[in-house]
Amino acid sequence: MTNNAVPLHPLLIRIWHWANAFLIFVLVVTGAQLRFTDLAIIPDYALVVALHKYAGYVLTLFFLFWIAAYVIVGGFTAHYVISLKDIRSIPRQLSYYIHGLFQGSPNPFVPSPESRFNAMQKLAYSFIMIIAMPIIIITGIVFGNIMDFYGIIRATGGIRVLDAIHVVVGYIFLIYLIVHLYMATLGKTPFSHTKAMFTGREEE
Amino acid sequence: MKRLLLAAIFFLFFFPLCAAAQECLDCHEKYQKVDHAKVKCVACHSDAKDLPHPEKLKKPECLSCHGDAVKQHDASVHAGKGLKCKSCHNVHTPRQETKKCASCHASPAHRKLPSARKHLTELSCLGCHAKNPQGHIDVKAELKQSITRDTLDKDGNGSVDEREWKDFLVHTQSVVGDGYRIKRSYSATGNAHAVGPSAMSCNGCHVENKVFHKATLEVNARGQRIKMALDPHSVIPRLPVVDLYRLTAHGKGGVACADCHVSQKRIDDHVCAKCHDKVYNVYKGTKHAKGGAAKCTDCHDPHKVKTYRELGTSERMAVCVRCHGNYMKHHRWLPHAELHFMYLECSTCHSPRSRKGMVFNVNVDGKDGRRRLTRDDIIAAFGGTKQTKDLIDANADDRIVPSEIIPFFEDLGRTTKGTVGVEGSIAVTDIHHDYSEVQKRDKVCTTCHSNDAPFYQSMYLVLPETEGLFYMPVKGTVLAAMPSSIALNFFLLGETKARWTDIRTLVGARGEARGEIVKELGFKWIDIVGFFLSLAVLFFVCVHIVLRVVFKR
Repeated sequence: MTNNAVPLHPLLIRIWHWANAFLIFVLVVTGAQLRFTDLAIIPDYALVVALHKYAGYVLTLFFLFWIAAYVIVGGFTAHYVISLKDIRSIPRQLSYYIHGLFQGSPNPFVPSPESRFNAMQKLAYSFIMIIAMPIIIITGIVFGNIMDFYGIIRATGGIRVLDAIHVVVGYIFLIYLIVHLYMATLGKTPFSHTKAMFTGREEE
Repeated sequence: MKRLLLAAIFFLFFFPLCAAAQECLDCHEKYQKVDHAKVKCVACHSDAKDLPHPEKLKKPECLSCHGDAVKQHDASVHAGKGLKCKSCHNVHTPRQETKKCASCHASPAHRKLPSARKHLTELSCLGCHAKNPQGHIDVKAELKQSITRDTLDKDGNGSVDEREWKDFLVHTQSVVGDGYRIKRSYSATGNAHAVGPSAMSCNGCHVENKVFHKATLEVNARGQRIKMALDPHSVIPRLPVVDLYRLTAHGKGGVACADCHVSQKRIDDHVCAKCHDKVYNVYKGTKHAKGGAAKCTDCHDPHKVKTYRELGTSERMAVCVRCHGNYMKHHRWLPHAELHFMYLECSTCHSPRSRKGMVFNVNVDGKDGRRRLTRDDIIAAFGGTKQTKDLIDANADDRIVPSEIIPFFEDLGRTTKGTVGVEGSIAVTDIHHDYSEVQKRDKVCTTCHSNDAPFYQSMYLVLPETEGLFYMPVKGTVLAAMPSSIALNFFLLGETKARWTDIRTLVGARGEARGEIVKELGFKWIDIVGFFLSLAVLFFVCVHIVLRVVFKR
């Protein structure tokens, strides 16, 4: 750790991030096998069902942990709520990723403890955490306890519709995961963002 | 004082009779204890009024007092057999020495009477053998939990009909559990003088209400008493009436009652085997048949209107559950067991040699609940000129595409009162009667929950035709892909998943066929779009990496 490292990620958020990362990895792999049984990544199908179900429940707990963490450390509005200024800065940020980065231009956004995410990150993270995550959690819990929610399922279009929503959001998570993992290499060095998520400090 | 006066009038009125009888008794001492309703001797022996009376008296006429009884007797089977009044009645002591039925019919065999013990215990001889028997049924139910009148009498008409009684039984079994007791008492009797040549037929009670016109239900629920009239047929099982029997598979096939019922004994498996020999030859060697545990009629009711094919999965399960009532206990290992049993029948897993398929029944959800689509609904919507399958498969190519099935359901929905929908199930389409094999009870989810599940190769839309049900081969995706999405609540984790063959078919198709395939893919589009979008993102990432390497960033 260098002296000029900026303290960026609070401990609670780092704990949540890595637990969430592990759970989402498990859920994507088991989810893929549940969807395409021919994949047979894990030979025991019943184990795949159990893993997916309980990883989902733990993910739900960590989602609540995430909410609690932001209540404790604060800064949710600054990190997740998109302002008009953020929207205006999107073209500049996008231009950096597809053009400026290769020219050696500096990143137009400099993260700080008060504002960790650039406009595009804010857009992606708030969509994932405020829209996609609750949807996949709710549909997942309903899927895990079909008989308890049978009336609601019938009223809202049936199991196929429930499955469709869950799977669509699942694909969104998969695509998000690909982009997120790659974008994590766009720091000062390919691993500086990852390191920061462990140490909490981002090298400048 | 009033009592004394009445006694005096009584004495004065009957004194002359007693006095007259005393005169007779002076010689005929053995008739001291005559108890013929205080009738004086000369009332019957009219030629003995003047004493001394002739040595040979005329035979007394019972008819003069017992006109109705004598007439009834004369028309009865007993009169035909030469029985007179005094064959049963001692005319001088009729109250003490009248013969009972058993005096002559000591041990009637009743060989032809089904459930003989039950009938003979519950009913008197005259209940069946008198010409116009009258009966009454008392049903007493003891419950440990309280119950309201509304639970018993849902329509509020003051009496409990058959349906309400069945609902009550279901309620007690599900809510009260074992803590209830129901006692049924049947009492029927009739005029002993009017005994018919044959007993009341089974139909007299089990189809019509010739004997038991009334039944009373008394519920005692935790001290609270509810008394109500009950439809006698609630506690007298109905036999199939002839009109209904004509609609059964046997009835339609021309099987007459006497073809099976050679006696009134319960028919055994050999009777069934006369026609169903192939099935019986398989069945007789199986676990079910060997111990005599289950006869054909234990599972199959030959009087039912529905054939086995017409029964829904829940109705088929109900057959097995009669004996295997604790099936839930044995399926604790099965995730979502209750949900599975909504769409499966026992034979789906426990009869490995039966052919199964994904069967889609068409239902109508109306005001009166859910019912199956009938041929009458089809006639109302499209007229009766065409078979239902021809109405759907308009170009008769034996392949149903969305553009054929969608208008069919739309037109049907317009004329049918209620919502038309499809209910899927994994059901046996061709039963094999050996349930002894267990190799398929492998508890492997992927037997069904995979793209290779055998059911995807045999999907049928069940259509009502004039001659019965027709199983029309169909693709499940066709139903799921419809805009009205009629099969949305059926889901087997497989039929909605895209496969390479789907993509290849889509790419290979041209013109109108492609349009149909685009519609048919339905929910599979989620996978296709999701997969290619993920690939596109990966490709973009790879390009980005390459550019970073090129620009050394």
